[in-house]
Amino acid sequence: MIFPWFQGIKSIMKTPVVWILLLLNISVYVNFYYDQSLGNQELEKFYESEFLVIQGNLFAEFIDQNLGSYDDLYQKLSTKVLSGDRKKASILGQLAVRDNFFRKEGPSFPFTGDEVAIDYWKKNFRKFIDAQNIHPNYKWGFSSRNNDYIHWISYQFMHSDIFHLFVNMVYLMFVGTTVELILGSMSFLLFYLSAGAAAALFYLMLVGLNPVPLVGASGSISGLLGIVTVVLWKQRQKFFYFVLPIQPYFGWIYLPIWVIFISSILSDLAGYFGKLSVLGGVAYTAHIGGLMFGLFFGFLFRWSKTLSKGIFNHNNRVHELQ
Amino acid sequence: MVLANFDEEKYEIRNYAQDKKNPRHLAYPLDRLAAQIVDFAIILMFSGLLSAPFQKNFELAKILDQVWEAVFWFAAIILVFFICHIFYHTICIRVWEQTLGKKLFSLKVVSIWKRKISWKNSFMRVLIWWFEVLCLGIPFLAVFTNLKRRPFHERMSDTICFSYSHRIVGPPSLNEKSFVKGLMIPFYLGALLIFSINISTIVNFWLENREKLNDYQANIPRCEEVIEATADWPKYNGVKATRLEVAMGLYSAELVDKDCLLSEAQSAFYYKREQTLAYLASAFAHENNSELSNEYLMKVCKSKENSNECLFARIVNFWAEKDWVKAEEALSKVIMNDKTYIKNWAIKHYMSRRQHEKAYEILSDLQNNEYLSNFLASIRTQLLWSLGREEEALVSFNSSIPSLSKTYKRKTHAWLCLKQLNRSCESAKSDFCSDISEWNKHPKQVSLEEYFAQLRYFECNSQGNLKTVAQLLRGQKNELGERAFHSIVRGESSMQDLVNKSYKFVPSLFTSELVRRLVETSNTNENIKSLEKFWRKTNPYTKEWEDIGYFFVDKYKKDRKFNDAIAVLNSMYQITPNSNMIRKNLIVLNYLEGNKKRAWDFFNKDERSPASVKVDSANYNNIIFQLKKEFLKK
Repeated sequence: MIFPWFQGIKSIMKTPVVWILLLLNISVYVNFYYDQSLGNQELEKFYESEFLVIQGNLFAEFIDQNLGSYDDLYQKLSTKVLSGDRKKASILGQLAVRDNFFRKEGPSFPFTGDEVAIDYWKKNFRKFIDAQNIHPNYKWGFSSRNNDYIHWISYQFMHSDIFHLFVNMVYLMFVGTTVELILGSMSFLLFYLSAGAAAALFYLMLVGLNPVPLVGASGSISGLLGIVTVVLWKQRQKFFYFVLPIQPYFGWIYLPIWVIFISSILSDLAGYFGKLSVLGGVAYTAHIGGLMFGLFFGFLFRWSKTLSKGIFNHNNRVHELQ
Repeated sequence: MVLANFDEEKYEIRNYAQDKKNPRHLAYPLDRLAAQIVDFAIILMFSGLLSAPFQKNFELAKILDQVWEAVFWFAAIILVFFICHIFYHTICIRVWEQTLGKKLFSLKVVSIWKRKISWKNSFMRVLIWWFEVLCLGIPFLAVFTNLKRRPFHERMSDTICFSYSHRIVGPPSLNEKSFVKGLMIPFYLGALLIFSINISTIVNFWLENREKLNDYQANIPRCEEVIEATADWPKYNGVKATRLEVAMGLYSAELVDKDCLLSEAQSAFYYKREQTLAYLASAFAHENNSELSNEYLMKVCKSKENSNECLFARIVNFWAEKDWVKAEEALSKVIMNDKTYIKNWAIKHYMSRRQHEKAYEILSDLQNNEYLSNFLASIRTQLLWSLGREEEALVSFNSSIPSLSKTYKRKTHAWLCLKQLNRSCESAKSDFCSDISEWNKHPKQVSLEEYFAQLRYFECNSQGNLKTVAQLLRGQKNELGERAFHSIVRGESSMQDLVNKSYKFVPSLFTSELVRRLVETSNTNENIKSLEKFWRKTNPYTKEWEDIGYFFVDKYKKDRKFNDAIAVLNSMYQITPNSNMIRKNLIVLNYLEGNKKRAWDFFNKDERSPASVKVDSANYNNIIFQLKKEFLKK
């Protein structure tokens, strides 16, 4: 395991934007913590109840009637559910949550069969949507329901849990510090937010919008990794490595910066090609989008000193680093 | 290939003696391990990307329960990793004499001859490395025993790994060698033993599950028990039972779970068959979700008002409202229908209401059914025993043993053992209690009956010495064992606390057993009265409530406090006016207390068969004779 340390932690005077972003992310998380826990509990109730299985059964019937709109996985799952497989009904119920078409057409669809279950689902589906609407991640995340200009930015400050926040903030601190020293504070802020928006755009293009929101700063942080890779391509930077829990198998090492870029892009591409996006989880496409954006800007920065000076308030300290 | 610990001078091969300009040492084993870990991480990244499409297919196969496809794609993922690993090592060692991991820890791999490693040797080295992995990595331990610290793959490929860092390690010392060799021998033997045991288990598992796996392939719905039972389910009046009826029958006998029942109901809804019964099945299966269950029950009658299913749904509502009279009226109508599931529920109803004669009557009327044989044999034994026909119960049980499943056999054994032990300790030697020590081998599976039978068994063997029982119970790792241990060693008052505090949280059988012990050991009237007060506050609509009531009656009878016993019986009579046992006890006790008129009134309510339990029949017959003599004359 290697971990970027780069320039380490600098004082708030040297990298004010990194510190502001860090504090902003933490305070947003703390501020929404109670609402988020409450929202999670509310949604958990639905996931644990019969609602999900019933939803799966109805979604199976819905797929059966709209075969052209669904791919092989959905069709096979639907066949299994219709033959009475309740485990698969639960999976299909979860997929239904992410399906825009079903969410839109489902409540008015003429379902047949178990009328009690249909009424139960209709009654509880409304409640389920309400529970999602009060959840801060659904409210401020980037999703098919919330995708106006504010959400392109706000989603970058929302995190699903404390571990998600911790990992992103640690990367922001170490990678962000280096980038802020290169670009200067205002340019760094502009770049950080733009990278997040670009990540969301890439996600939108490759996966498409779905009702489950995209949250987290990882798209922006991938952008930081992209730009730092191009700008400091040949430089050896400080990394922390850990192989075994005894000396000298952990400690500091100076490696070319592209090492971290290669490992990120490989794992993101493997995730993108190897995971079923319908099941959710890590938004690899957003990471790739952020990285691409970072690479693009890195090349612009390197190759066109004039342009970089014009657009960004170019910081002379970059020469110290190069 | 040089397998032995080579002597550099003798073989005239590359000299590894210290060179001042180019210091070379034998590779430190931990450096080698760390280098392998780093290489693994690097290969994983690349192979992860290359095998990404296979990972996707693997996930798909997993979701769709396509076992063989999942195995295939998993094997493909492993194969990609294997190929990447072989390529990476072969190329790196041949071209640069080190991998990235080795470079990080200043290690190099060279040929022991004075030339570059050939492609063949480089490839052989990594291939044999994998062979060593398949041997559970044990051959790697040669780095602690070989003079040049060369594991098998290095000796086979005429290579050696050395370190050019300052971490110096010499040839293995004698202690190091003997320690590792000493460890290796038992490790080898142990691994061989485990492997031979596991291989037979794997083969058996494979053979047993082959058919099952094929079924998954054929997309057969989940509830295989129903498919199997439907084929041989007995016909009634030449009409074959439907799958949903069979599922209901099996569910009522607790032979399939709610998921199975719901799967069948779901299929019925989808194919628009037997929708009314499907609603009823769904109501049963959602018993833990009262809102949904009630909705289903209401829907049964909305769907088909004059159907048997609707009548049965009403019975379920009567059960919920504890309206036993209406429930039994409706049951008597619906029982004519001869549906197995209805009869099973009726038997369960009458058993819980202690109307064993009625339950037995319905049971006798049930057709033979091999899928319900376990359930019916167990019920028949319990009913015969409860009716006082103990010998018949034992004969019935013994004759059904060959066809009983292990679980049912153990369950019924425990039930009979407990009943016998509650009567006298001499039964501890009976056949039913003989395998008592076997029950505790899987503490999580021990039922309450088994647990209390064990408790009683320990008491009998220690001749009532509770300290010995407590010591025996100390070894019990289950929650009930812990509770009973504390309740017994802490004495009567704490037992009462336990009953008061935990009545709502523990199974009723547990409470009834504790109350029985309290009543038995209580010396003061106040204690018994306070217990009776507690009992009156609790839910009377359980089988155990009546059991506890009888403990008080027995205790009061023993102490000749007939009025107190009558008061308890009157409370019980209000709840179950049809119970012969309560009525007969009331006749006897009222007569003994001098309330002959009251006893006679109770006698005139006798419209049922004289079968009874717990009442001293000689005494009872004598009292009836006296009552008849006195009141018939009048």
